[in-house]
Amino acid sequence: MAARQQQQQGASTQGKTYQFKLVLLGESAVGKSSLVMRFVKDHFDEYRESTIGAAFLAQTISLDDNTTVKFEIWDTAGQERYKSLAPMYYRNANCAVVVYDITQSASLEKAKAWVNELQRQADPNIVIALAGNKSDLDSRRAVETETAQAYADEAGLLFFETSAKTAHNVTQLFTSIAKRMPLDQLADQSRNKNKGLNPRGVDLSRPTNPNNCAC
Amino acid sequence: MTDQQEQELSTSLDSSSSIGSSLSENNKMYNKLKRQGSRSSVLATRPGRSQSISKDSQKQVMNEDPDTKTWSRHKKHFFILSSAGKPIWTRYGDEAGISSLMGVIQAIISFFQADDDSVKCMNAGHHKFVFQLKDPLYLVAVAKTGESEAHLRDQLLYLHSQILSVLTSLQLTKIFEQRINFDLRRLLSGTEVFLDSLSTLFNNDHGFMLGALQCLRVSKTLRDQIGNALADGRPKDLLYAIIVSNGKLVTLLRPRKHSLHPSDLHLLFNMLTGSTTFRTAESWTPLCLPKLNSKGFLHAYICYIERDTAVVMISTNKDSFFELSDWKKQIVETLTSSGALLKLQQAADESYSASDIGIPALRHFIYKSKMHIQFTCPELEAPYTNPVNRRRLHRLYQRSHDRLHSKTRPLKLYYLAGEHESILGWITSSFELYVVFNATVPKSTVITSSNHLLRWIKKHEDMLFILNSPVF
Ligand SMILES: Nc1nc2c(ncn2[C@@H]2O[C@H](COP(=O)(O)OP(=O)(O)O)[C@@H](O)[C@H]2O)c(=O)[nH]1
Ligand SMILES: [Mg+2]
Repeated sequence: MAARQQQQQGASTQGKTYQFKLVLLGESAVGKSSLVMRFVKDHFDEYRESTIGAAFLAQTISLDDNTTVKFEIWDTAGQERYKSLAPMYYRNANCAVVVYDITQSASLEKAKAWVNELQRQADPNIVIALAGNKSDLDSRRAVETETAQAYADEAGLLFFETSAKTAHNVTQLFTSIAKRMPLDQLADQSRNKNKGLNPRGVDLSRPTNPNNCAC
Repeated sequence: MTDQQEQELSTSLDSSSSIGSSLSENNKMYNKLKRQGSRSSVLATRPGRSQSISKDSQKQVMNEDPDTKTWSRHKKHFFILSSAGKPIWTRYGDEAGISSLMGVIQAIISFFQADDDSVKCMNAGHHKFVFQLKDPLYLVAVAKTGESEAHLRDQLLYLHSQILSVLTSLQLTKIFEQRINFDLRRLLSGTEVFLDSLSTLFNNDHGFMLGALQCLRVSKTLRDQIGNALADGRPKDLLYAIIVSNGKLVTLLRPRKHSLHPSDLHLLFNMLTGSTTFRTAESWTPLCLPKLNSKGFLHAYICYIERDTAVVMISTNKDSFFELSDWKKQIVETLTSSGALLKLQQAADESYSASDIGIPALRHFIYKSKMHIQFTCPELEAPYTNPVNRRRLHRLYQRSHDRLHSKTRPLKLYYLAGEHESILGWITSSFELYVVFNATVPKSTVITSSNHLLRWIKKHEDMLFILNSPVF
């Protein structure tokens, strides 16, 4: 995974919109929903309530004049009782953001477990990013940047320290994921419909799915 | 139960009260964070809560040891514990802080069980203790609200159902069979907000006591229009589709053979009010509707389609999210292009009030249609916009309801002329009516005005109630 360098230039043709399924995983209360809210609505809630089940949202970003990427995002709840449902959400994901809270070292361990599970069970081409959230709480930091960075390098993950509260690195996180996606493989696959929790019915063996509509 | 036992019991309650009150600011913050702001947001919508303590209880509070004030000031406590005595949830304070009290409660329960008896209700001073033993869970209410045992018992059942809706009875039993000392808080985490908001709703929403649902008042044309939009293009695994505005039912699509139990609908509506997360995305969650089937999960799709209007779809298939989501888009398109969605939001904004009806001295009422298991009531107006008065009105409705439904001596008619207002409660084979008038109104006028009100309700029946909901 780490070795895979995708160049998106040349891969995209005129005004293409690519669609990716992204899943957020991580212990509860690390800030998964807050990161999505910041990314999708540019909004932060000091008192966010726990996600119940999973929440689905979409956000579109443009990488350059010709390339638009639409993320379809599953924000999972991360609680123990939903553990057995997780595969339903990452099974067809093209990319994943695994989140921990820099003030809780146990949450990094949980994140590592998620990364392991993804690397074993999810699509082999899945792009995984590790996000150390709540970077604004530096005074209460329990996980050093270098520690997490070293782990991310070793496991072949993109890595950012983020703050949903201050918006620090949130756009960068999602943009980097988009750039890491193998856009060139997508150009001639077409959109199928509805199968399971996979909105566009993509075969498991095919990680990505292009979409020409300008939606 | 002997006097001495009562004495001991209230003492132990008081001593444990200090645990709650000694909760440091940090702990409270922890509590808040643990529920991720849930309580603050639930409370924020009821700004009058802290002021809503009646004079009577203020007096009691002043007589109390100042150390025990904050915690024991609350007039009603709910506790949920495992049958092994482990705290699971408490209405106020932190579950971890009440372990010793849970121990006491568990000891009382086992004391009676040892005699092959089970404790149901005790009175100790001003407090009423009500127990629901639902192995592997014990639910306890401790109240000085004057609410009846039957009402408190019902409320405990709703709380129990809420837990089942998260875990199912099957899982719950299995968990405790495997580990009697299991800490259930871990599995419920994130859903405490629903227990919190249920507890708040018990004091505001008459639907729990009535076992009925409140409908949004809309014209028959509009309701039919919305119902028709649901009848079209239904995904195959769909069981129910519900449109809810402001906690009031707009329409419900269901299979001919499976109506939805009001208690299950209350849980669904409580979910919508209990957490704001549903407002920001399309949600998809496993959910058990205990009255329909307490053993299994269904899957709920929840999405707000207008500021105060949500659609809830219940499916038997865990993979049907995108089908439901597409169907929702279609419904929203239909309702938007016909203007129905806009009209619905208007209807939600401008509910009716008692003064609109034009009956002199009529302040408020509740009418339940027994056949439809639905009720209607106007918005609260002065003096009931004041929290103290509102709470008194709510208790008055509860008292009347309790008298009419008394197990030992049920009544058909109940009239009470109080200091602040008078109330008539009236039950027939087809309805339950509770009407509140100014205190000065003579009884004869109460009767004629109530008849007048009944005629008004009859005339507007098709706006106030869902007379025929779409089925398939
Ligand atoms: N200081 C700070 N708090 C955050 C940040 N992100 C989330 N939170 C808070 O952490 C709590 C949990 O966030 P939430 O998004 O619900 O976590 P989730 O359970 O992983 O979805 C909430 O009270 C948020 O306000 C952040 O970047 N900085
Ligand atoms: Mg969340």
